[in-house]
Formats: sequence, structure tokens, C-alpha cells
Amino acid sequence: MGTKSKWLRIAALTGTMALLVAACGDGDDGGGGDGTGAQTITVLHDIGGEEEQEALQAALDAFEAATGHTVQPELTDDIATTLNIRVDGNNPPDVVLHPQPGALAAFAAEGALTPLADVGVTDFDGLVPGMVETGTFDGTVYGVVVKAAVSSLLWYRTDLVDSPPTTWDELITLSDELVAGGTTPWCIGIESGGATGWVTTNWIEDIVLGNEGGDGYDQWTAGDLDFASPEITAAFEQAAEIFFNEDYVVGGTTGIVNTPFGDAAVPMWQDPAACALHRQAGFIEGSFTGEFGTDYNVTLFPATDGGAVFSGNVAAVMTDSQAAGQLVEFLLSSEGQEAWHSHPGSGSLSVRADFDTSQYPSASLTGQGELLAGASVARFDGSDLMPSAVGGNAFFSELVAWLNGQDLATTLANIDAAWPA
Amino acid sequence: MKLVTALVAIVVGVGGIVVLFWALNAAVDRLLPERWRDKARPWVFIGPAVLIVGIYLLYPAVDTIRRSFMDARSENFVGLDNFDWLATDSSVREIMVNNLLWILVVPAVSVAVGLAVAVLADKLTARWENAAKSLIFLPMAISFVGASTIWGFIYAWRAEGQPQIGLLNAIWVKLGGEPIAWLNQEAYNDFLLMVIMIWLQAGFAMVLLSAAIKNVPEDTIEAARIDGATEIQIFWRVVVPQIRSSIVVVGTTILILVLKVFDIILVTTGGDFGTDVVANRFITELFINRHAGRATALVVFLIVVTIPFMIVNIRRFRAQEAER
Repeated sequence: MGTKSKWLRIAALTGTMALLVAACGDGDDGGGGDGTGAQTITVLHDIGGEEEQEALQAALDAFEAATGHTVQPELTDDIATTLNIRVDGNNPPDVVLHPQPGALAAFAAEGALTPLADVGVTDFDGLVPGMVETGTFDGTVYGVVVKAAVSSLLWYRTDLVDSPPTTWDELITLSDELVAGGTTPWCIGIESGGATGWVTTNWIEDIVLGNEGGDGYDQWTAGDLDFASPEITAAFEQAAEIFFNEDYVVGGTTGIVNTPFGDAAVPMWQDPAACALHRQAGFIEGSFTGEFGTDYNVTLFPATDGGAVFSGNVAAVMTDSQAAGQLVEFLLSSEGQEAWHSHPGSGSLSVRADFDTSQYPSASLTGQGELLAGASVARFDGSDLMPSAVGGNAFFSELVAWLNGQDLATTLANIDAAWPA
Repeated sequence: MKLVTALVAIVVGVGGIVVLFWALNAAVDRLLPERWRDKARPWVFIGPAVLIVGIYLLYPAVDTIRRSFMDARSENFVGLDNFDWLATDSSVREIMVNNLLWILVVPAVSVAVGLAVAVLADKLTARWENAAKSLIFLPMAISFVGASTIWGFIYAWRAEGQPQIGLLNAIWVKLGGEPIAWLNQEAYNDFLLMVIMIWLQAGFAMVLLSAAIKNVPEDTIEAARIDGATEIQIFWRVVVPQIRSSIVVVGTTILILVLKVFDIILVTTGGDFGTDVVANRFITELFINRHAGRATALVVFLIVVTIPFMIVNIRRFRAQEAER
């Protein structure tokens, strides 16, 4: 073969390399952008469940129709891991709907979040108090709650409970009466795979909010009030009155740590009812077989002393996309909230104070919406406000160890030790 | 559309590699003077592989070691702080003890079970031998996560009076016991989790050891028999010494697997009830606690612990190759 064929081969080689590079470099072309006109906005969220996704999609569809932008929602069942990888890999979503404000606070401190004012979101009028504060870190608003659910709910069987308790003492009295009447009062289950124990963190949060008020709660979630402090120790001891009373709880502490949280209320609907009381957010209603209002009802968990702990998703922007800002603004607007939370699949509550509660798809949600609106003080789920080493790990894993026999002093010391320096 | 893209990618990828090597080979032929060609050719062929391994294995390894001396977000050097934490934290001590137990128990029991099955199956007729071995080997086809889920149901607990969905408790209650939450029993729950891995790995040990046993020359066994040795003596004095290197290779392979185990713990207990191990804690530190320094320190510890076993394994493997 002559020189010509040699150069042909080299040309072929170069071509191949170019193809390879092109094939490998097929990156994403969506998201971000600083231009005007229709854009694609990526939204990372953890709102699983077919119906709830449909409700979210209804809101996103309304946004697309109103603005012409395209929204690409991306569902993850492990948002902490996914988002960390995306941020570390320099590929953040435009908007994240994050269930843990504490994790967002860490991202804000790292500079991974865009202040909402920078993408044109400045109007927060008409929201339920606490929704903006939840996403405000060091005085800058980085996120706002766009979807809420009351966590401090006590569900009770109306045939076994005449009048719902309003204080902790009444709750204990009621429990004793139920025991005397032959019914185990409580169904408690906290098994949740690698996150086992988070359900019991909600109990502690309710008790702390009730005993110490909003200010004490804020100090605690900010790390200024230790777990080993007398106030928080007292909250654990108060919860222990129910957790460790074998007569009170179906299966005792073994039942608590081994029963999957989603199945926990199932014994409540056996015949005869194996328990009468269950403390859980609204989603648990899906496992009930009775009728709301006739067979069961809901009230604020009495430990909160009239307050409410809520959870939800905080919308935050992670790029400089103005369109992303428009999306957040829309999700907060009456129009966006209505499209989302009046949808039959929503199952969650609006963050707008002026939301017409009769628009909720069920009587139960209307009731929950009124409980949130009427709460004397409302705070976001504390474990989601704490650094994830505590709120996403030690707080609940140590609770499990405590329920499995570890002494309280060690438990509290271990949680305090996990708080990042 | 995605399918087309995938197909194009495969064709271009595989075809590209073929063309790449063909072109590199041609380039050696055409461009290099004759006396360099034979020296250059191996490097040309091994080069891409070395490069890729270097980029995807060596560089991350070195970077991991570097980060183990840095803070949570890998921004500032903190000296030996992370290793100080590794050495003194009480929860880390617990996982180290757990890992040690796993190391001591799982490879030994897996090899013992595998060896026992291999020897006993060897005495069966070919048909039954195959049936028995297939059965023991079957779990190998199940992923760790799948196996852990299955065993999660075996160990499942329900309150007394409720229907026991867990196999173990169903039997236990039928025999008149109270349901026991097996995986909460800190005294022995580690061993219950180890059973899962042994169940998965005994088949692997059996296959390799069975092959080794069949390679033992029949005349050595005949000779022992003629000298009046019992079957047990033959096994310990004649068979085992001749398959020792296989035993060590199988044992160390399982051991390295044990050092990396996390899925079993993650699926069954999530590290609660005193069952956590190093690899699972690494995930917790990196992705939940967001402490890259401590996470990488755990990994460095694992690497350091693994190295001696790798060396033993490679030496044994070489010795075995030399015997052939």
C-alpha cells in the first residue's frame, strides 16, 4: 500500500475518534439559560405516589400554559443523595422541591442556592406564617414552602373516644380509660428501612413545641438548646410515658420499632379495633378503612398545646434561571396553589392563608387545613431543619436505640455528639 | 428514539474500538521504524486499557486518600483528625467489631459449608450430585438486596396474637414460643445477618472447591486407602492439603466481599440495633452526614485492611498456577 492509503487510514482514525467524542459528549441541553422566550426548567422533587404526582403535574401544566415554558419534573426517592450528587457534579436542577429545609440551609451556606430575589421572586403576601421563614437562612429568602402537611395530627376512632383530648393530661387519662375498657390505646410503628425512627422524632417535636413554645423550638432546631438540656430531656421522658408503657402500645416497644410506619394504623381497623389512637400526618388516612367524620376523626396532637408542626416541600432555585423564578412565583400564587391543592390527588395543604378550604378534595383535608390555619404557632418539622447528620440520622437512629434498650442519657449525648462542629 | 440512539452508540462504540485498534496497529506498521515496532506494539494495545484504569481507578483512589486528610467538604487540610475520629469514636468501634465478626465468621463458614457439600455431593451419583449442587448454587443468582428482602421476611416479627408473616416466628409460635423480634436481639442479630451472606456465597465456594476436589489425583487417595486410612483421615490428610490453595483463594475472595458488604445491613436493619458495618457507615457519612473527610477515612481504612488479603490471595494464586 502506498502513502495515499496511509493517510486514508489516519483520516479514518481521526474520524472515528471524532465520532467517539461526539457520542460521549451528548450532554443535556435543557435548563438554565439567560435568554428570554420559552425555556426548559428542570425540577427535582421527591413527591412520589401516583395521585400526588398528578396533582403536582396539574400545577406544572397550568404554569406551562400560562408562560409557554417547559417544565421537566424529575422524581427521586432519595432526594438527599441525588441532590448532593447533582450539586457536587455541577449539574444542579433549576428548581428543587426539597422536604428538608436543613439540607437547603447547608446548600445556601455553600453558595449552591440562588436567593429568590435574584430571580425576581419578592412577593410573599398572603402566605400562612412560617412558610417563608422556613426557607430564610441568614436573613436571605432562598426558598418558600409550596406544599404543606400538618404533622401534629391525632387520629381517633369515634366509637372509642367520646371527646378528643386537648391537653397531655387528658391524653393520658383517655389512654388509661381505654386500657380499663379493654382496648390498647395506641398504634405506633416507626420502621422505615434506613430511616427507621423518624416517626418518633415527630412526637418529640410536638412535645417540645408545646412545652417550650416557638422560641424554644427554634433554639432547639438551631442547635442552641442541647438534646441533653433539661427541657429536651423532659420532652423525651414525657414521650416515654406512652412509648414504654406496655399496656398503652400494641406490641410494646418491640412493636414500635418493628412495625412499618405505613402499616402502623392497620390494627386500628381490625374487628374489634386493636387500638383507638394514632399520631401521624394526613397521609396515613390512606390505610384507614372507615369513613371520616363517622368512624374516625382528627384533631391536633394535644402535646403541642394548640400549636402545629408541619412538613412539606420548600421550593428553591439552584441556577440563575429567571424562568425558574417565574415557576416558584407561580407555584406560590393563588392560581398555582389552586391548581395543585384542589386537585383530587393532592393530599396536601395550601400554603396560602387566603386559600378557600372548601376547595380541598376531601372533608378530612378541609379539617386539616382549618387546623393548620387555626394553630396558635406553626413550625416546620424540626428534624428536617436540623443538619442532616442529626435530623436525617442520629436523632432517629438514637431514638430507635433508646426504644431498643439504650439508656436516655447515652441517647441524648450521642445525638448532641452528632451535631456538626 | 432512545433505542435508536442506544443502537447507534453501541455500533459506533464497538466499531470505533475495533477501528481504533486496527488504526493504531496500522500506524505502528506505517509510521515507526522497523526496530521499534515490536517494542511499541504491546504498549499500543495495552495503552488504552492502562489509561482507562488509571483514570477511573487509580486517580479516584489517590484522591480518596487525599480527601481523608481534609474536612467535611474537602476544603481544608485537617491533618489526622478524621483518623483520630476513626480510632476513638465509640460508634465506629462498634462497626469495627461487627466487621471483625463478619470477617472471622462468614468466609470460614461459607468455605466449610461449600467444602462439606462438595465432598458429600462427590459421593452421590452424577444426577443427584448435580441436583444437590444446583440447589446450593441457586442463591448465587440472587442479588444481595433481593436476598436481604427474602430473609427480612424470614426474620419478620408481628405482635403477639397477629398472624406471624415471618417464617421463623411462624414456626417458633407454633412450637409455643412468644414471637421474637430476631433482628433486634443485639446479642446475636449480627450472626443472623451473616447467614444471608453465607447462604449466598456457599454455592460459590462449593463450585470452586468441588472442581479442586475432582482434580485431586485418584492414585493418592487409592494409596492412602491401601495404607488403611479411614475416609476422614483421607479427607484431612490427603484431600485438604492438595486443595489448600483453592480454599485460601475462595476464602480471601469471600473475605474481600465481606469487607465491602453494606446492602444486607441497609435492607434489613439500616444499621440499627448495633448491626452497622464500615461500608454502610461510609454511605451514611458521605451522603447523609455530608462528611467527605470521615467517609474517605473509612474507605482508606478498608483499603489498608484489604491489601494484606489481596497479597495473600495473589501469592496463593501464583503458587496454584505454578503447581499446574
